[in-house]
Amino acid sequence: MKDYFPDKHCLLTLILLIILAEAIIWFASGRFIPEQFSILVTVIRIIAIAIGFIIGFIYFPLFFRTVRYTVTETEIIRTSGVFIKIYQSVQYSAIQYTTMISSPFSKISGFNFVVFFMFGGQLRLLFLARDDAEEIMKLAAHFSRKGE
Amino acid sequence: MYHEHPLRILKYSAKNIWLLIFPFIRGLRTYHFSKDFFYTWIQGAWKDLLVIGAIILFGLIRWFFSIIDVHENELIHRDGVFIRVTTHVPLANISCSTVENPVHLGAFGARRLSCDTRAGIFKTADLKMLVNESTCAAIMKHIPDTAEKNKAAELKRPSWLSILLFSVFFSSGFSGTVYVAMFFFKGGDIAHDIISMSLSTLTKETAKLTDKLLLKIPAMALVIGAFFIGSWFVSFVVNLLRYAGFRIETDNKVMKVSYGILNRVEYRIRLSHVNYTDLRQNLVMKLMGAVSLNVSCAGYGAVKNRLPVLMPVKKEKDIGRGLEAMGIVGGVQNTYKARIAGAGSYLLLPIIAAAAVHPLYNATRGLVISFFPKLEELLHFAAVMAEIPLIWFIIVKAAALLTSGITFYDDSILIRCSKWNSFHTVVGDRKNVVKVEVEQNLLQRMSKRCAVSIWFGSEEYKRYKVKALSEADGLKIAETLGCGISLRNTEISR
Repeated sequence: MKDYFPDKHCLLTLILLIILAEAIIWFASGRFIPEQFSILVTVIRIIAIAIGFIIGFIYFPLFFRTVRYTVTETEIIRTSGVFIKIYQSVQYSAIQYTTMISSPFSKISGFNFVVFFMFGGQLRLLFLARDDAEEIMKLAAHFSRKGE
Repeated sequence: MYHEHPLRILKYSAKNIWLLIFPFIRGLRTYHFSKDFFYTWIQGAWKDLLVIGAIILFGLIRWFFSIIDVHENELIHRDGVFIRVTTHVPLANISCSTVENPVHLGAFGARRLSCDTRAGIFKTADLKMLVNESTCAAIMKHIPDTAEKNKAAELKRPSWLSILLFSVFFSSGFSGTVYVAMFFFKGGDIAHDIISMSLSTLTKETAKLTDKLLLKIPAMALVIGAFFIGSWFVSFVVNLLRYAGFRIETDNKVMKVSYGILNRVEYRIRLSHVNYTDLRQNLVMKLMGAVSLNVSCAGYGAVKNRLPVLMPVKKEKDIGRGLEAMGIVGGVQNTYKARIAGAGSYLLLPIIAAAAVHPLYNATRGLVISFFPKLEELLHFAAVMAEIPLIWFIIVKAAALLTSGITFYDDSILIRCSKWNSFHTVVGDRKNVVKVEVEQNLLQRMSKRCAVSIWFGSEEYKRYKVKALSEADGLKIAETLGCGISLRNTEISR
């Protein structure tokens, strides 16, 4: 049995992306909304900053702290949830095929996702370090073959 | 390591077709009403060519990065340039692999290859590729095929007549088309005196045609009726071309089905992944003792406009021959039958609907005579036409009452039931049953009867419901399937 956690680099990347989005909204609202609606500009900026702050500095850090992927000899368990805890367990025998999605520079950004496709749905393991994602894929393939 | 067929570049390029907005905007900017417009536009044409080149280049790069790897145990598809998507499909999990060979792709040596596993809830293939013939052959070498020595000897190739009958029966509802066409032909005939003046002037030619043929049918009604007959005929021809040359081979592990003239399709189905088989009939087929054998397996019949048919038309008495590997045995009787006393479950609604037509006709007749006296005959015709399908429906449901039931044999379950105007005989492994529901309304509770619904594990969420079973039979069926259901607050012994 081995536990995997989301890559901490990914949290940093997400926060940087949120700050970038905030900056775009800040400048775009000032640039494209006419001057006579300056109150609207201020409201949009405040709402954007509030949402960005809540998501980037409260929700995501809590989310990353609660997510855990456990790989055992028979199943994969995903534990997650900030406000409501969710435990998902999938037997290797139910997995039909797997997909790994990697973004550019995923070693630095930590944007690696492993998706297990099984009867009636999917199990998504998000924001993994590249090495962890590859290891999980190998372990899942190994245990699946062992169980056949 | 293989690449997809170069024709795929076109599809990948098409995803960037939105870039053509730039040549379009340039065209708009340079557009002005003068003789120099063309020269002004052509001077900047290199920019348009650059955009088109970029679209094709993006497609080419995307195609280059789409790589297929075939290993001993799995098929790997790598896709994407910036966001890399790597899909691993274990060969043992492929339920159905499909090779399509359409004429227009065949000219370029290309084939469509798709593989489907039992994953997901939608009837879409998990892996779709456009490959050349040699790549297709190399991949299919790893997909299990029927073994020559284990082939079922008695599985006959369907005759041309059976394909023809299948195309007739399953081409957009043959009886429905005849009914609708008749409605317009005959209804138009009656309405001729009332509305022909306004409708037949729609086009002079069609009005002339009706006059020449001495038909008292308005042009519009004739056109609509002919449209329905014509569309059915097109559907019939398409089905005939689609299912012609039907060939089926099976051993105890794999079933190979191929059919089609303009688009020859070959399926390889892993028998252990078949969820259930469904023998479908309509009333005419039931009276003639014919069935159409369909199969529920991920990937089979998932292509648009294709039915998951295994045997287009087969005699009911011969159904067991050669299909033992799929658990189909001929001559099995219902152990748990629908009770005649529970006829209301089947017949009540159709009888009420059929009986309601006459009072409704009488009720509206007075109004029609008062306000639109010329439409009286048309109303009478409409009432007769409404009665016909309802009486047909009563006959269908009466037949369903007499034939519905559930049987268990070996490890299989056989369900005979009806849905609307079709009859289903569903055969599946007991372990594939994922849900059982025993339903009882107040009347059924008083008369100790119930309805049993059964679902099989598959990509489709289909219910097979047998009504008017006795309460004891319903509970016994649930118990046999491993479900402890209680209807009267008492636990049944398991």
